[in-house]
Amino acid sequence: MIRARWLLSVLVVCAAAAAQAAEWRMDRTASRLEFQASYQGEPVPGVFREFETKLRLDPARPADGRLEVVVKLPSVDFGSAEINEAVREPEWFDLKRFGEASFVSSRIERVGPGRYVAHGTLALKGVKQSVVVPFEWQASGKSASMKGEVTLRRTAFGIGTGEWESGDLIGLDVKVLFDVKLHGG
Amino acid sequence: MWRNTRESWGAVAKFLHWSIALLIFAQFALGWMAVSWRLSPTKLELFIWHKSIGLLVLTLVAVRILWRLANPAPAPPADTPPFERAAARTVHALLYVIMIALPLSGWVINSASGIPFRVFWWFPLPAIVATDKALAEAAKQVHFGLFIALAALLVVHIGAALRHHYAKRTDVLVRMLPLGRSRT
Repeated sequence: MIRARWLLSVLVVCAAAAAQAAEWRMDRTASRLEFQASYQGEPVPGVFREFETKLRLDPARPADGRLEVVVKLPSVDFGSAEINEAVREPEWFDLKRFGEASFVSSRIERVGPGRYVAHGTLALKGVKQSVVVPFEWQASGKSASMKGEVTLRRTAFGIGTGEWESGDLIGLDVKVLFDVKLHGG
Repeated sequence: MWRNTRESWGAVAKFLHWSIALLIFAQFALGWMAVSWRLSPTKLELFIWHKSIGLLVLTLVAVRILWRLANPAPAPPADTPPFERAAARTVHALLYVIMIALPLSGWVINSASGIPFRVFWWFPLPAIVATDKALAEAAKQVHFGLFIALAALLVVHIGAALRHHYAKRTDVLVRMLPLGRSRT
């Protein structure tokens, strides 16, 4: 009897913990996925207009969390018709063959108050690479935001091949910035 | 020597005239190559040279106009008919207008296209208009139209200079040559 009660209380605690490992859905209109490429060392900003974020995160138990982001690559917008046209080509995003990029976390860790790091794999243009994504987390009630930036080396993913592999004109490092608003919890 | 006289151009006016002339012909070649080159780093570098030299021309032309205002131009030969005087004044005025308007329209293309640009890989050029695809397209048409107009005016300008030298046997061409002196 005592044993059964103990088991029941364990189950209740587990259920409570599971309920707190919250599922979050992205607010599409309020969320932004931007990046900053460079030309002649000058910043060239751009944005991915379509992407989806799914997050399971209980701030108290980040290890149980999971972050999944899917980016619709054809929604890329540099604010310049000429650049938008050029990046469709096989040397750049090769949009005919690769319509999506994805990031899936394998582990989320808490590194400070409201600060987390998602370790995972970025799949982009047929290349899978480990990427570490740090983000700031703010939640109040049913809404939350995750915000951060990560710098990627474009050539690691074959973005800009052949004669474009040199970073003299078009820089190799691309800063990716995200500000994602979420509902749920 | 440095300044213009009633008879001939001074060294500063000659330097500005010939350096701008050289750069304009380089611009014709660079602009044509940049537009027709396949998309590649070379094409982008051709554009960087074309834009950089265009801004250099704009600067030199601004200096030239100030210098011209501060220095009266040598007088045309005494027996030049009124029509030719008026024609020369008009063509010279149009050349100055186009030498300003052509680089400015290029600056508008660059700004409206939303592409950053470092002049001679040295300092970033500020945008003079906001990014605007329709405006960029319109400015390209204007830029090309001004190029055609400049080419036509240069045919008239060079033709008139050669006519003065070979047919009318005046010193109009010689007094602008780097080592040329007026005969009078």
